[in-house]
Amino acid sequence: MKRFVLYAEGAGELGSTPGHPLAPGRVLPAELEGPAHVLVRRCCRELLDVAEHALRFEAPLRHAAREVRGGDLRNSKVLRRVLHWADPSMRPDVAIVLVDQDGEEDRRSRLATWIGDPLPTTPVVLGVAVEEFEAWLITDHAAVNLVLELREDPWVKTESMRPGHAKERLGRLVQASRRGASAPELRLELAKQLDLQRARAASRSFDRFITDLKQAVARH
Amino acid sequence: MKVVLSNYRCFRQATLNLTPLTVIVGPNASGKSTIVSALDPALSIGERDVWQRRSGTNAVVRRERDGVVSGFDSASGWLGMASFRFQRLQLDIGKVRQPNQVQSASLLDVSGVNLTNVFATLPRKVQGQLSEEFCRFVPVFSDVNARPGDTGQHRLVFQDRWNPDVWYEPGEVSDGSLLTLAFLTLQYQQPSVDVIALEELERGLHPYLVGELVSLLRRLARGEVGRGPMNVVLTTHSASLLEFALPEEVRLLCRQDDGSVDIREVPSGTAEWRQTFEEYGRSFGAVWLSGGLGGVP
Repeated sequence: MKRFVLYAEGAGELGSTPGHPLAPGRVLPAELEGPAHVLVRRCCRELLDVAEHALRFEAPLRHAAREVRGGDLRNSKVLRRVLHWADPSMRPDVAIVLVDQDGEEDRRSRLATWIGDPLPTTPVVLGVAVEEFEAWLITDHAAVNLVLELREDPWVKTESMRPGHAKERLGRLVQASRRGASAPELRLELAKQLDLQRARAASRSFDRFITDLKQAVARH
Repeated sequence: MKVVLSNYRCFRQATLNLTPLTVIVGPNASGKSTIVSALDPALSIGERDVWQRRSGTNAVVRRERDGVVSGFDSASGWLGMASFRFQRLQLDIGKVRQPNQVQSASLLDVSGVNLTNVFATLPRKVQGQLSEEFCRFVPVFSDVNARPGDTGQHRLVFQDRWNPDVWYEPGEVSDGSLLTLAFLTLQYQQPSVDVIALEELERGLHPYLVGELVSLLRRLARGEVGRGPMNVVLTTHSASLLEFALPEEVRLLCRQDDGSVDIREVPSGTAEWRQTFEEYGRSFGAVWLSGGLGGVP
């Protein structure tokens, strides 16, 4: 069983959270998995040959008793802390930190420096979406049209969109959707349907994330 | 001292190894009070105490202290006579404030209702020592005494440090002051006990006082103060108390998927613990609050 923990900036990646958050280490039930969990699951299953039942997400560590928020991932001390499990039996096999670049071109190198000095015992995969996670979700134009039941013309490569543009575009597309589903449901469905190979080819940041994930999984 | 719990309330199979000072940490309803009850030599186990109330299941609490086995087996009864004296404290501040009908008392009651009698029963010299120590902990006072009242009762009074003519009644001093006096009294009880369990020591106390009291209780447990070494067991869900505990003293109560509770020790010998402890600025409380040790809701 490969045990994963995922930190991300908000509900857009993590999906809904229960009224009472799970204790760290508890297995995250499928209904609490968000688009980012789904993408990681699919990458492991389809690209890394990890069987569906051989992977699970666990509730991440907290900071000062509360759930980690987006701002916490911008604080080197807090970020390092939540990548350290005091009890080896509770330590996951892979910890994933997924953030948006948000126009900060040095964000990856800055976070990588924070995480790597010194390296935690837990393998960490750092994903920095250019410019934001929504850019990954709409990378595959065909999947967007299929999921949202639209007939939109192809758009430019999402990585060349200015910061905030992919988020805005996804918002508009969701509003225009004929599917009659909520925005969180549609985001989840996009994560399930997008063509991973196409997304890798179209997004360098997504490709790098998959490559790093593959290395971390292979180490276990 | 070692206590093995089998099918006893929420403990399906768990072992508790006590150090001189042991700090039991866990969320609400995780079995902290159950552990305290298991330490009590007077414990007996009924049907309602059996794990998930399963019929046909045998619940056992087995203690080993200085080579002597004691405990209770729900099928066969007592396992042996305990050779230790036990005291449980769950102080009730309303009761601690109450005046006492004058009578001799050597041991503090579970609620602390007889604190005045215990204080007044101490020799005068010891009362002076205790008062001096108390005033170091709570320096707004310069003395404490038992003062007679009507109808054969007496109550504690506390002298103002800056105006010796002013003595405060129990209802006028803070909860923390009274609780501190009660905890300090433990070292002077005669005869002494072998095992003391204190529930939620930190309630009503300033974190500075918590640290001082934990340190005092550790010295009491080691026999550096008081009348000889003993086991002191604290139960808590306070991060500020944990700041004053040593990793080897802490036991974490962790709920399992089947509803049972496991007792874990801190893996202080591992690289993970050492690294994490450093990352958290050597703050035990902060490490615990992260949830990476267990013992959280």
